[in-house]
Amino acid sequence: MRRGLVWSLLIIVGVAAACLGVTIGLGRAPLLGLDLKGGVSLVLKPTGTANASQLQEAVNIIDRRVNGLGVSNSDVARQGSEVVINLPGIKNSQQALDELGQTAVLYFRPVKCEIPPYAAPKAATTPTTVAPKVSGTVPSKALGEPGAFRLTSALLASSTTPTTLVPTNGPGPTAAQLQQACSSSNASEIPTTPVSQDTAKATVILPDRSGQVRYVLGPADMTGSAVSNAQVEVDPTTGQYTVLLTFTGKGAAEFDKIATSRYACYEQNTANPPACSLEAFELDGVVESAPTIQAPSFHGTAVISGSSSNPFTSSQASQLALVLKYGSLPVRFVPQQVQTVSATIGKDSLRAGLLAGIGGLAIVMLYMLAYYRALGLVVLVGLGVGGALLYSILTELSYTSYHLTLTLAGVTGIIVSIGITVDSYVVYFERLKDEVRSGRTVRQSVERSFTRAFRTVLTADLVSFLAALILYFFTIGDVKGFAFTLGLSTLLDVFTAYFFIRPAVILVGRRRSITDNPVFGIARGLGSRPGRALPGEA
Amino acid sequence: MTAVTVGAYRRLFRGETSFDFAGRWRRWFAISGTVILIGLISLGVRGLNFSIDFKGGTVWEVPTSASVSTARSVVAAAAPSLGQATVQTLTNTETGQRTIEVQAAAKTTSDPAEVQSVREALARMAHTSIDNVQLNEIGPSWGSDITDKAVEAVIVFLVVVSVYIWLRFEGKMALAALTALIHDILVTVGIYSLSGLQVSPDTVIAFLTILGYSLYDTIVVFDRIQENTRGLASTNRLTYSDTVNISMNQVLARSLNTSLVAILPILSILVIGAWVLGATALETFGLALFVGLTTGAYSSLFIASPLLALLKEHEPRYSEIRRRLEQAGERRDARRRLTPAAVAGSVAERTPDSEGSGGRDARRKPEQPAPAVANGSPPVEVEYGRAAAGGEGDGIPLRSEVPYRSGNRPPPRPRKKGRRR
Repeated sequence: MRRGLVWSLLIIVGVAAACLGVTIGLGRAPLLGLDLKGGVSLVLKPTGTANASQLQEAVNIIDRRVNGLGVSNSDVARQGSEVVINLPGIKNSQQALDELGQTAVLYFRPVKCEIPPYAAPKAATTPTTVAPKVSGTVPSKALGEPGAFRLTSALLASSTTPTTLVPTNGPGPTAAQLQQACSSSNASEIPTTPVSQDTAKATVILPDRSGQVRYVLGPADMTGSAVSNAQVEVDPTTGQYTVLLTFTGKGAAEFDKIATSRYACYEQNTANPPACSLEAFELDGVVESAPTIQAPSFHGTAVISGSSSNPFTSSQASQLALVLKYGSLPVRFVPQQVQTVSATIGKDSLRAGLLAGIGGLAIVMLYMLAYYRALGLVVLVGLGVGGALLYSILTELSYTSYHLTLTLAGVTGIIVSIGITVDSYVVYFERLKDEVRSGRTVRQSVERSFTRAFRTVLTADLVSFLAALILYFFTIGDVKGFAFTLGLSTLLDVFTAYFFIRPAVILVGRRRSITDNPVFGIARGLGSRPGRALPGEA
Repeated sequence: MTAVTVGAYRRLFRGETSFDFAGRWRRWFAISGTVILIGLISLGVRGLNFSIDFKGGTVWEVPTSASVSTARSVVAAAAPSLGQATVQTLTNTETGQRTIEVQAAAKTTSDPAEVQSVREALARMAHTSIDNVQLNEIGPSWGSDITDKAVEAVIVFLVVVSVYIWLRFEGKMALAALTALIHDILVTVGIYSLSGLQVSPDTVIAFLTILGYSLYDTIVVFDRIQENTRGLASTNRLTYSDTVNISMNQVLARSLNTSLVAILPILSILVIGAWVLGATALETFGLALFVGLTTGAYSSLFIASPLLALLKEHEPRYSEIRRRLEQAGERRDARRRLTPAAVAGSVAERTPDSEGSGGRDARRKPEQPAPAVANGSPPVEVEYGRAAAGGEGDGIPLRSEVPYRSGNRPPPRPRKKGRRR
């Protein structure tokens, strides 16, 4: 029992120290937000004209794309007739610009035929198939999956610039070439349609993502606004990655209409389906996927799977889901300019706030020491342990795909969470005081008080955690980021309450030299010795 | 420190307070009602001052090498209502051209003359022609869909939490806790409207923090009330209000300490950071947190608990107890003795001292519910054991015959000779 307590204490202090040591040793610190450190500002200009509502829709989609998890503190707004994106702590702004400039419209297009790549004839089709989602449960969204593709600083800085498969401008195929593309014997000489000519009503020739095959595509059947959601799933029978596509109400009807005609084609030859059974998903001049439609109606959900010979990898499936989910903007944008933005809070303000916060904390600590004596020391060490763990976790999350960014609001949230963490101690100590007051010694009281106090802490923390969980799953943007931090600090609170406060207080409470010390004794801090001077009188 | 506060603090430290929280509900409700009413009137008349993130606004851009603080003072001089404008620098990564950007919310820039005067002032500052100051309107970055989703989430949260409190505690506690929460929301919103401070996304997040904190605080208090009521259920010697009062006084030290710990750093940021050192950005949500934490702590003591007592007193069981006790004229005596220390003292007498004489006590009083004690049973619960054991069955279940004065602890207990000290 006693040994267990010592171990628990040693392990948690050791883990906290090690985490902090590694974090500092690696020279890592949490990413700081736009308000604290500034970042990069990108301006996107729509090609052609776009009305205010289209721009606002684009803003919402881009915001969701760059800040889906809400913790990366990006800021997207419409400014005049342009869209301004502010990203914190970005390293390679040019790359960010290139990447965000890729925003485009997602089209669903009929496939006329497949042709070899331009001037490099080598055909290797990778057929994929679409089967209707078998009725039943739709599994919940895998937490964190889409996070892997958030377009924020670190990701943008490290990711490779995608395909230069499609020329942005230049001569495209002539009308005559398009006409005979499918029957031409030297189709590889017909150029690919440039992005500038890639409009909804046009017939186009576009490559797939690998660049090994091109498709001749008819005018768009519908746009990506028909898709309400797309997520990666693992097929329980085959174990392969698939993408579950959910359509909006209107989109479902449109897609079923397309599916009926494609399926008619598919039925002609199920073993080797003709091109007319394919439906291409095209984003920004690249065919992301061109699956065979294997059912006449889908009732709003469809599963896209790789072929049995060439299954999806995890990243391919995630990429496809991301494109389908967020790839559609109502208008096409051209990147305009990149600027670095300064912090919105001046350095002096920041320093003032920091100093004030530290001063406030110091007063709190002094108060705890004066009020609870030796137990105040336990609080001090405990906050150190909790703080080290929180700092390490926040820093670590800045370096993952979540790109957690610390803003002023986040820092303040942490200060409030100190209050809630210290409350676990206070509830325990006040309970201890009740027990000691009723005539027990400190030694007798420490464990039974903990049982009761922990129950209270659990009940109250559960409410906080519920709040965090609900906010996380129901909201978007900054609120989601707040919920994340709240949930994290609540979990840490329960964790340190059990693994640190309990062993520390029990061990301290067993030492008579500590409990009965006239100045610093726990018994005194708990007010178990009447008649002596109390802190208020001194 | 005056003598009165020292005395009150000492009594708090020793658990010798006996504030009547439940009985004076009219006073507390009147105070809160007044504050909320003033806030609501202000909300109706003045509304809230939403920041640029919600409604969009105006942005001025001027190429200049002037500093941010210069620009800020120039803007403030040209249009005093734009004191809360965001000023930052933009530096073009290719040309290195530095631009000062000033953003202000739509509501404060509704006057075209003011917009124009800021434009002129900025041009003068940059020593350039007025045409070089670009003027643009900017859309909201915190779209209405974010707000809608947040409201949706808060509603779901309230429902789930109500159900949770209902299951974990009871329906009336859920009602009282929710009332306290709504009280906190109304007070905070009212104060924001009154002060005219900007409501930014940070404020909304601070606001959500408050919701969580307020409930957290209320639940800690209710946990103690529930624990004490369970013990009292069979004694029939205390009214529900008295139970609530004992519980409140028991958790009072905890509530004050916790609130101090949470509020002190915020207050420090607000006072030192924002007002003394002039970091205006900290004001907006520092105030939200300060008001929220204070009203959160206040409402769990002065709104949730008295309301709970009011609701419960109407239950036949508790109104019966009250009627009986008032007939016997015992309540006034009880009130004086209901301090946490007195309750604990009375428990000390009844509870077997597990270390020194536990075995003996157990033999002497076989009916004593030993397992309950081992689980860290609440003080008053032991009274149940005594009642079951058929102890002196009259009067108040508290040992002390005279109210304790400070330094006047109960007399030494003869049967605790064997207790180690």
